[in-house]
Amino acid sequence: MKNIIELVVLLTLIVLLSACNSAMNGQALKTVDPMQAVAADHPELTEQEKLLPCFECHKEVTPEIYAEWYDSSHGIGNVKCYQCHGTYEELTKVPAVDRCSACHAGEMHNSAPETPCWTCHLTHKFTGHQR
Amino acid sequence: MPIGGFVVNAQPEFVAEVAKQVAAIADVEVHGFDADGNIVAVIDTVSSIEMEAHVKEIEAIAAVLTVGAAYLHAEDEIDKIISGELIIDKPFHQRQRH
Amino acid sequence: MSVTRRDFIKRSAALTAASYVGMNLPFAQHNVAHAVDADRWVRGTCRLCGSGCRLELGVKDGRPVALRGVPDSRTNYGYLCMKGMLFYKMMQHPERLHKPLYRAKKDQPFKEIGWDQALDIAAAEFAEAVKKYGKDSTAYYGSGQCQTEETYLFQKVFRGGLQTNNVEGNPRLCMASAVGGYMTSFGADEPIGGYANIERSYCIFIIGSNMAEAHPVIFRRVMRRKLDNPAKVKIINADPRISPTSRIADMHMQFRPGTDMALMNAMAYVIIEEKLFDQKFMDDYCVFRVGKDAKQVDMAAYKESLSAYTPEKAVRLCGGNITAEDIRTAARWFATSQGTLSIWCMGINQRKQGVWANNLIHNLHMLTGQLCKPGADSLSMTGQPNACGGVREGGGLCHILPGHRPVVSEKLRNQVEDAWGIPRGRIPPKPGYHTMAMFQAVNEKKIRAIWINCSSPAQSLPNVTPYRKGLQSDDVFVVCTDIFPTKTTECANLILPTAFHFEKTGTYGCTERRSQITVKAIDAPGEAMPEVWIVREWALRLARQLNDPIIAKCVEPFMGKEPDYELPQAVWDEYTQKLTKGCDNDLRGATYDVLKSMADGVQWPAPTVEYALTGGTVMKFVRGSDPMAETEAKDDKPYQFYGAAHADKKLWIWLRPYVGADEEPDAEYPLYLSTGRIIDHWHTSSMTGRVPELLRANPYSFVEINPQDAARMGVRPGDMVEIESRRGKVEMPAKVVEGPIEGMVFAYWHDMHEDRMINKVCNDAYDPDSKEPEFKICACRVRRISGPRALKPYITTLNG
Repeated sequence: MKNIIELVVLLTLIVLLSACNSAMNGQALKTVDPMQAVAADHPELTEQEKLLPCFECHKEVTPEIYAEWYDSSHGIGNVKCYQCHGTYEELTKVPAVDRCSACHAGEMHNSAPETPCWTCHLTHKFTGHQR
Repeated sequence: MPIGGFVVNAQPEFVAEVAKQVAAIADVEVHGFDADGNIVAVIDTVSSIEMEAHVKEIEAIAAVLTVGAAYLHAEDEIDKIISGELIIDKPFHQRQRH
Repeated sequence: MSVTRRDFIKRSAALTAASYVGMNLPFAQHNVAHAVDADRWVRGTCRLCGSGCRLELGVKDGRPVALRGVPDSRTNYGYLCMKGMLFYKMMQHPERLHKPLYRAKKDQPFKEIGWDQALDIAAAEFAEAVKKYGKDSTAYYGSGQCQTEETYLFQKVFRGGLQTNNVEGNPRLCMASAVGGYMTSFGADEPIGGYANIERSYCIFIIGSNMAEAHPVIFRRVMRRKLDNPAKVKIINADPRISPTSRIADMHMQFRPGTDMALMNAMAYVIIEEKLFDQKFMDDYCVFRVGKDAKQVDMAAYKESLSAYTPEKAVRLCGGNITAEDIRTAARWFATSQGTLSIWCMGINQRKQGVWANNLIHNLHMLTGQLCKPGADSLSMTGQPNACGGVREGGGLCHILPGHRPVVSEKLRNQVEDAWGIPRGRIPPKPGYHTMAMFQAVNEKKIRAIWINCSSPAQSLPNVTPYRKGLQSDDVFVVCTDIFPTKTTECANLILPTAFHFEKTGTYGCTERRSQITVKAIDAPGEAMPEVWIVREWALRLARQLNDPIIAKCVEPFMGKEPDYELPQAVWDEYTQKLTKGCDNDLRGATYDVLKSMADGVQWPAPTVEYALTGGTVMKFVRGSDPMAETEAKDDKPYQFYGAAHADKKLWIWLRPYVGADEEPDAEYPLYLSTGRIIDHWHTSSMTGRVPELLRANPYSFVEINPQDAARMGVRPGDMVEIESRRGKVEMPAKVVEGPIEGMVFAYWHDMHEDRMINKVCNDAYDPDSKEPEFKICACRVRRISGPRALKPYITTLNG
């Protein structure tokens, strides 16, 4: 038992040490290709399960995300998960950033090309500029 | 059969080459790297001794600054630890009791 | 792709490590969504609802790859809902109709045939019907989703060529009461203002509309107005059902279905009692009228008629959550705000007293002078993308000719005949069958040949079972022009494949009198052709079959024109330059060149190119905004209500009592049934059901049941329930939600499956003036059948 505790403590230290090596400010840093989408590794579902709306499970599985989305202008405006994340055959965890241009083509045209929208307009609250 | 997720920190200007070298090591997968010199690697080995060896191998690559473990999954070995078959008093060092 | 447990753990390891350094991991081995890669973007209007969103289709190597909004459009400002975002997936869908299909008898399978043979058959069958049974045995049933050019050309051939006014369309099922309301209250069809009033209003009264799902992108503007001005702007939502629209409401008024008429009269009562009316506006512009002969009465009589609608009495009638104080508050907000905007849709229109319900909304605006000034408007939301432009304006209903001309007027018939260069007397003097009468006539074997264009009445008619049966009979020849198999193509003899949106050029006119163009961007699949070409070719053959050269004359100006652009342009030019000239929907300035140059489109009246290029008339009847307010002015006042239906050029405040629904609940059928759309699906889901994202979002119809009612019935979420009326029964999975008021259930209507097609249950009683059916209210009973079942979504194929 004592050995396992030591193992855990040492692991934790190592984790913390390696974490301090990088700037942990909670936001995405410059990556190799910030504009590239990231595929989602969704658990395998039956065809019948795929007929449930995303929030049926995600209300429990990712409740903070659901709550943030629900009270955001996307939530009130009924912008649903699949509009950004796609459906199962093309599901992305991080959508291709030009998916935003379906509705926000004007803003995208005017903003910095290397910065994905959600860097500032945090998912899934999507707060905007104050008027 | 432990699986470990590691962050390898390399000098940023050499990160792509280092990533290639790391990926070339058996049992090691490189999942991504960034412009700050961070490389995400997953090591999947039969035992922790081998995992420790791979970590040493990576640390030995010039331009690697540190290797840190972020995630360790070692359930296969926990049973052996509990039964006393395997003694771990320091990570990645093991003594087997006969 | 399946993920083994080991892979999953390795992936977790990598993600954890990546998260410590804030790295997003690209994965080459999975299907990564590629950025949109288009070589050009072509501008047009959305194919779906009546909002009139402007968008661009991204095309790569001749294939549609994406849709994005047009930021400068004054309708949607660049935003799209999921339907507008995804309808490009319908264009090259494998189930698109490619070739004409024919069968002599309806129990035979369809056979592919060529266009020549198909058009010959269509002409021969219609000619035979005329010869054997007379001209009025033929009929055209069109759609608020056809382009204006298509509706206009079809009705020209039917009226001037075949000489029948049996020209109808599915807007009869949705907008006819709004038309009736505008005509009787204001003297002219269509809203005085438009969407621009949203950003200038301080009180928005949303009644009988779930615009969050039915007009999402316009709702976004209302949502934004409220969120940016939380204290200053008041939103009132009046609906028996709590819907997604209710989320932004300061006050939600929930009442027994149909009692909104009492509610609005009660608000008028408060406005009169608390002296919140605008005396000057009423003196200058309004009169009070009552009864079938529109007898003029005075304010005292009007006030007297409201004595049955004190807030206290209304509250007893309405039930629900409304208090007398709520009614007073709502009335005060309405009357005293700097600009009050009312928005409504099917909850008000699809009623036995739909015209009266519309009148009652207009009354509130007339009493308080909440019209014609910025932010003040009574804005009926149009359901379909081109009910206004094509059907209401282009002559697509049995009683009106193009340019809002009632067919009963000989002078106006002659105007149209002269414009068409055909002999006077060709257009019959009486209206044809309205929609419910038309399908009743099919059942009675009075109609022997019917052309159904871009609509699916075999699913969308109320009390659909007997009408579907009539269409399935071999005594009526049915030709359908459409893009996909539907419940209605199942009843056809001849199916003609049509070009879809962006596969042809044409115009749509949306809610706010704004006509907008969609230019052809890609080729239609297979041998599908634009409707304007189909009508022209059919008319020529029909003329030969009936030995009637006037039929050919109807399409003569369009001979030799290629179908992708020149042909629709020629049709549009004839319609706008000759038929709308001098009418209230004057569109002479909105040429194709003008429309193409604009981010959005042109609001009529727009008699000149110069005026059209500014966007046209933002507020009708207002001097300075409406050029016809100058040319039709009768005095110096700033507002000129020149609507042709009111000889006195005034607005009419109608005395209208509350009248209950045609079929109220009783001991046998104790619940109210209402139905409606949800955001992901359009109408019968023949299009949206074929897009995976949209199908999965709402794969079948559900019925919403109030938790109190559900508890009484022993119904849990997901249970299968049976909904039954005097007309039929269906089964649906239940959603138990604080949605419908206690005593009411709300079913979604998009499902094609026999077992879940709610229109089998709905009532086909209709408004005596507008002839629009009462989809929104009937009596039903509901019982639990079983626990949850694994249901399969159903989209029909060619042979059913």
